Amino acid sequence: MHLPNIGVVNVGSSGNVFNVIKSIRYTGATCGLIKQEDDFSKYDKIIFPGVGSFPYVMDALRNNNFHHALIESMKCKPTLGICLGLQVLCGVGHEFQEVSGLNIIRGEVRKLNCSGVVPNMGFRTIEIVKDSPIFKGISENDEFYFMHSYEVINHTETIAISTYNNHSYVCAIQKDHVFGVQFHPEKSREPGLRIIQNFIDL
Amino acid sequence: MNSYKPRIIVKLEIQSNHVVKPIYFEGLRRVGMPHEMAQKYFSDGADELIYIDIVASLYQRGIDYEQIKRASDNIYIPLTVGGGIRTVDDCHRLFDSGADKVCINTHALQSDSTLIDNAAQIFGSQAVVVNIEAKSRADTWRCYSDNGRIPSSKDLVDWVDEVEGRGAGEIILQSIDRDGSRKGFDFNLISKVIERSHIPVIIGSGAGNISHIIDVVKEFNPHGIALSSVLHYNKLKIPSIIESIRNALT
Amino acid sequence: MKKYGKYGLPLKVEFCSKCTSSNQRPNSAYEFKQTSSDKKEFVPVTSGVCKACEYVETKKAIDWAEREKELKELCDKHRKDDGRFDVLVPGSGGKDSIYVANELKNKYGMHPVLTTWAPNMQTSQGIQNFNAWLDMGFANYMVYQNKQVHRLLTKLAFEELCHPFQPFIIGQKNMAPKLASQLDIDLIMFGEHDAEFGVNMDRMNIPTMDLGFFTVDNNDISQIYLSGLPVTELIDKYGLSLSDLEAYLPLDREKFEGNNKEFHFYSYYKKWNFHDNYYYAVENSNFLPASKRLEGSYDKYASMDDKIDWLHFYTFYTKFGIGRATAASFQEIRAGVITRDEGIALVKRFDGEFPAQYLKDCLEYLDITEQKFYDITDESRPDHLWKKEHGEWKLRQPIWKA
Repeated sequence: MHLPNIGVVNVGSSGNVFNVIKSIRYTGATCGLIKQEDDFSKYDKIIFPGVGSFPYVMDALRNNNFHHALIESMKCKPTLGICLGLQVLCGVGHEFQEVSGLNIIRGEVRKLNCSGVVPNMGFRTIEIVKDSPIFKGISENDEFYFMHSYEVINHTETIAISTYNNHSYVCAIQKDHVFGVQFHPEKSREPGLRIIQNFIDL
Repeated sequence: MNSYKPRIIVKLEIQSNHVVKPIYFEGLRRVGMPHEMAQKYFSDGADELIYIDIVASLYQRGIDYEQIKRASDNIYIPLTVGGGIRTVDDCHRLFDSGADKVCINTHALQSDSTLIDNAAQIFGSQAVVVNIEAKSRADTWRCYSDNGRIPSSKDLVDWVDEVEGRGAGEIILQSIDRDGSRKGFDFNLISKVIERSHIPVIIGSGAGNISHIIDVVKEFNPHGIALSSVLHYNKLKIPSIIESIRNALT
Repeated sequence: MKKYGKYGLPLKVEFCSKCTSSNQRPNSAYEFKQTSSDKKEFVPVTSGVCKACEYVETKKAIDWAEREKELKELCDKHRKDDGRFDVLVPGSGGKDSIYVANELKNKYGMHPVLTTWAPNMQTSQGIQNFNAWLDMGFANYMVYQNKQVHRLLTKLAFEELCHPFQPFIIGQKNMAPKLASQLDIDLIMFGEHDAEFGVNMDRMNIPTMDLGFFTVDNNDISQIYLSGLPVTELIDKYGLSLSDLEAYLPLDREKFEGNNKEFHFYSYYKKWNFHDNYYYAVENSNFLPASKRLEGSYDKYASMDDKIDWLHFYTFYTKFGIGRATAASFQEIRAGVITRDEGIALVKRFDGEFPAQYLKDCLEYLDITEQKFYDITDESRPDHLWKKEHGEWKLRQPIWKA
């Protein structure tokens, strides 16, 4: 049985790549950076952390020709998008300007529609609305760290929601073997590390 | 689900290889080592850590990325790192060293505030924190730099508005008049900022006992509370703070 | 004609390899013997280390438990069991005098009374901290100078020696002994002794002050100089009387050798730490640092109660190339708080900053014009330390280029 090899997409601003790698290594899995198109083939599973803004990340993907490589890879390899990595799975984003996303899931990204101050920053509990292997062992009291000003609006692939100032928003999606989480598992203590572990164990 | 509770954030003030604790932003008394203290507070249940190199701007020297990497090792909560940030490239390197958010003051306040805009555009507002070191003067507050010792021309309220406009995602609000004193928070200062800010504000400076913390939570419902002295000197422990707040809010 | 010589300074500038000090530091003189033509004694840098840093090493080997025992014995000897004042603590309300007075009272059971030689021009920080000192529960004998006389002497000291602080230092050194001789108090406790600065090292293991600082043999005023001028000239030419000069004239050594008065230094008994004293002061009183960094330095907590301090540090800089940032940094280096490299970065950034904040106040106080101020400070700069580059004064060998 070989150790799963996780590829971490490193495009544009490196953002939280360092911390994502740290959390993968914590589970014992091996991992490496995906810096060019060919790198995708080296890995069994893909993690796509996203930092910056929707247009910024999409530009970086298109400029490095990752756009197609990523979509192709997602057809057969389990993929986990984190934060913006979730958001760009949608069809379109409205941060700064209207920009099309990877269109893996039906939905759009808009400014958080709530009365609280934005960004939504802090630990929140989540409500699992559809069973998923990445939630194995997660309890209703587990908290995950969110830091975002935009939310995914989607009605079909949502597997978990969370709340902020009484506003419910999508915090996780799954379509086949493509997953996306709005929170940062690498910053969410033990529950976050469990999510990473669950993804690696798929 | 997810009713209000403030984030408990520990502030680590770094000078060279040590965590130090100034009083009124003066003095460099050592209280521990960065990695050990980060680990300890992570284990104790802190929600976040803020690691600030308080002398990088004052001494006009670069950032010690290796030390940050070591400090962030085995830490799985958000780590905000600041001190001496002058360029977007500094921010890139910080993220590559374990930072989850970057914290900016001196350079943006005194030299070039477009640093905030540029960082927010590339890394997202949520990853850009502005540190405000405020000193009371007559009936207002002035913003300071270089570890609370060089006044800027910016009045507090103007600067709060400006940083928000430039894309900062969060403010950490410190009082030069209270920090390290454990004599309680400056309610007037906090009120001034919270009433006009549209982004999360982490309030710091002055916690000395549990009443200080409970009072400020009840009065302001702050997004986050930054603690240093009261924890470094073992006046309070994080688990008991969290529980006291939970009890106070029910 | 130059009114002050170039001090007999060593022409080769040497920096201490451990701190930011140099061999251009004057030894602590008997001020009332000082004239403008004096060649000073200088604190050498030997084998790359200044005397003050050598003393830091010496301090590590001192048995401080033993020294504290000596302090307790000293206190036992002088303590008045009926609760009357038994120790006089001179000071200004800075961090050091807060430390000394409070420890004597609360740790060693003494009954201190304070005394202060009024500052030339007290700053708001000075007022705040002076009151903080008294608010700890002390009485204070405040000595106010005849300001007309004091200002004249200060002006003359600036003109003759480029040393405006001299009359203050002289008066301050004289004050406690004079007061003590009139009170029923035999113990006077000062703060740090000269060894902490690397001067008068022959007395580093002696807890008491050299009587030469405030006494002379045969009270012959013709041998005494104030503001660099003979007292006889001050009387004849400037019309000052003996009562005008009383505060500044030394006492008769004979008187002191006979009596029971003892002048001790706290730093002999307790390991002195410039930086720790700041924490002591803020944690034990209402002492506050300055609202911003002090001009010419990076710190907010040292020597800030008198507007003349600003001028003093500046003239020290023009004469010896050593400014406030150098002084603060070498203290903090020796206190183990910053490294030499960090000190150098701070010196480079702040040392010798023009004292704009209180310049106007000082000029008025000294009754001189701004031009005269520049003339005197310019003239005070030794050739081997300074050069002019594009109309600006630059150190020939700054520490950051050494």
